[in-house]
Amino acid sequence: MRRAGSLLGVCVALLTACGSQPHSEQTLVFAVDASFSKTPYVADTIANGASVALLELQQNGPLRIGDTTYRLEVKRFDTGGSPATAVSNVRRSAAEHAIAILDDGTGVDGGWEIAREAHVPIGILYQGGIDLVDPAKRPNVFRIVPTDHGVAFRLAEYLVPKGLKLALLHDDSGYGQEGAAALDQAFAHNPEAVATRLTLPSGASDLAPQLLAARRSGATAVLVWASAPVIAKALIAARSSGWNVPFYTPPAGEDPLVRQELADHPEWVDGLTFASGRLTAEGGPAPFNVFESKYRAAFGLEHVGVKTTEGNSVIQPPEYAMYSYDFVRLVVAAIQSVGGAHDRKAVLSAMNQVTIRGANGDERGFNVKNHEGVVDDDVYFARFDDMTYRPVKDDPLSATLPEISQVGP
Amino acid sequence: VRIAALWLALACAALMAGPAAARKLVLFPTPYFPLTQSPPLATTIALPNLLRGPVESRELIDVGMDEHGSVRSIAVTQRLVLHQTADYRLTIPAPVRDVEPAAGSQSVPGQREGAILWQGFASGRKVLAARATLDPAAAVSSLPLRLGLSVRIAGKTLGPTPRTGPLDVSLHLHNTTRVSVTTFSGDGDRSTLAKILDTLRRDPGGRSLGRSTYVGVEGLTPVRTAVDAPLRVTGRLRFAAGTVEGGTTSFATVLGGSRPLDRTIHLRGKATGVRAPHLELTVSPVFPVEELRPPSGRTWAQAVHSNGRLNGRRLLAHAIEVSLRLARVRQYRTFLLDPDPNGQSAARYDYRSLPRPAVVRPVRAPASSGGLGPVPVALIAVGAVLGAGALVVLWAHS
Repeated sequence: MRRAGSLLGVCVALLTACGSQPHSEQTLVFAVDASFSKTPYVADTIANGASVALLELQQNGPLRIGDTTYRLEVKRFDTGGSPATAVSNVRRSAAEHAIAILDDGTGVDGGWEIAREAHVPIGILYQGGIDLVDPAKRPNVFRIVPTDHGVAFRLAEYLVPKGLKLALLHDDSGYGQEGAAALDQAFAHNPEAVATRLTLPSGASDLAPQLLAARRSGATAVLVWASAPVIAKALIAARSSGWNVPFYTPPAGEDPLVRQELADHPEWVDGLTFASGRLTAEGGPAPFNVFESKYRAAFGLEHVGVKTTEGNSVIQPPEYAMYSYDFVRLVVAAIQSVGGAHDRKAVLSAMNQVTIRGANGDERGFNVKNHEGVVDDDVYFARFDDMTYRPVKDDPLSATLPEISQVGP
Repeated sequence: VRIAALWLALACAALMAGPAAARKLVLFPTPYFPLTQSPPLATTIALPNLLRGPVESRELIDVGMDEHGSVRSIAVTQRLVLHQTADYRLTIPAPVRDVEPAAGSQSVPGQREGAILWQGFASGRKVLAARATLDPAAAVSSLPLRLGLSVRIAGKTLGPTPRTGPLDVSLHLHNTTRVSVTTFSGDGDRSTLAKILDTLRRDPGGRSLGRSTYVGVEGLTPVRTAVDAPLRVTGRLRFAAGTVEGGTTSFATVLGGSRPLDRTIHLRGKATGVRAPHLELTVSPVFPVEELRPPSGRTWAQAVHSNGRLNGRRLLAHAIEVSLRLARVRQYRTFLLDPDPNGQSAARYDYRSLPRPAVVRPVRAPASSGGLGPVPVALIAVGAVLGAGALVVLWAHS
């Protein structure tokens, strides 16, 4: 009888063992390759957005897909603004089997092939250079941020009908040169709209000579495609000389640094209009507000460091965080669609087939032909007034968008 | 399956409406109800579309054929015109192998397994045009026309080399759109049916009738009926090389509707030095306007009023037949999905002969290439096998 009982016990144990799935644990690293030391606003926002996504995905414990439990981590790699360091970071990330690399764009030209060898997707979350993304040549490079092409063409579409004579200024950084190339294409059919084209030296402390040249060209408006410090210097040079023409910029115009540099003359910021990716979808601001709440719960308010005339502190909406948040969730959706992260090649391929509901409420996804997560149509225009910005009313898309609150305690 | 269930439901709804003799309101099968799952082409992908409408869809389907008329390639150029100031997100299911923007497109299409994608913002009017190369094996069954081409010279099938002699070309055209569906008969309300027919005459696409049109019917009975989409076919057969005496090489016909579904075109004459012919066909699904014309008066309402012989039974049968035919035409006017169910759509199918693929002949290696001939190779192989066997025996006895 005892023998029969022990036999039964063995059988039960065997059946139990057969019934349960073998289980394994794995850590998936999302590497953020950005200039944390030189442009911390952009780099931190990218990393924080990724962290918000991971917090959300693991709010009920580690992520379980199939028979594997995944712990998701964000790891920061500082490029210091150096492409060589950025590439070195990509190499390290690939060697450490990162599941994806979130890049500000600096390390992509030199690093995408290294990442491709390891089947690691790279998500560009800041730079919009036209040649950075090419699904045919660079199948592992994706982007969620407005492209330079989209921003430039939308600017031309918006500004040419106004009959302005534009001074097209760009700085001598890679960002500025890429932007100048995009503007050249966008204004190629409307040369009459361009009064002059000038390069601004990023290292110059005073841009008065360049702005004076722009003024003498007969320009009635200025479009500056440059990093935030150069935009600020250009504004200071123009306004301090009494030249009060409209200023237009790419997304860099909304960088808190511009307002910080002009904190002593807030009225000089008034009217500055920038182009950027819309923060809200047609359904309204609710999804973005939800995302913003999650972001603030994790990282607090992002103070710009300036105040409105009523004395309210100005808050920066987590725009770039929205993009990294979406990219991380797309990677996880791709992993889920292929049943786990064991087959990295399959995960990379699935990046072309999955769609998520993005932080702004819109569908976000890539496909075989297009690795751009922000379509050109989604570029809108916003104008500063009293250190905060709101969508313009004289553009069909922008006019449909709600205002996002930017004041805090 | 969904389509079959829909038609079953329609038929059941009609028949369960009450006792056969009582007049009951029955859902009328307007052209909005497709009779089969495809066309438009369907795949497993399912993403919700976001649009305001109206959206116009114009399609050109290019069908490539071999020398026998069998389909070898299918490509579609679809031109969607949006009229809205709002976001759009469209998923067009298709067994797509490749997609590119077509001329005039104001955006670039995306591609996923089984779909063409569009996304963006339209400020007023926006043209989305794509040229998609499809998997012919997955799409061929949704084409409206099947062909069979036979070219014989002096009693033999024409091959790749030019031939001379008595020519006998036979081109068989078959309208493939016919399906059998369950519907109903009975004594329908004449004035309602006259209104339906007048509405369909003004708007054969059926947008005005929509999906919720009812008709009072007495004595409901289930019936099976065959429905097809009439096709207007124009074509030309020409010989790229040589001459042909006698016979015509151009033709135009209508297949289906009140006419036969099949037609065979013969061309006979004397051929001199001809190669395989090039066939071009244009196929357009056409609304059967003659069937929508009232037998007397300017409208069906007038005809019903003045013609007592136009009883409710005949009128119902005619209205259902015409409406089902319009539904079938509507399907073939959207080979690829028109994302706006209320949108205007049109499609044309261009069938063209493809160039005969070049014959690649194996090249014989030159005798002086230094390689071994087939006999030494065979001897070496036999020797290797015997040697391996001997080694195995040695190993087994060691």
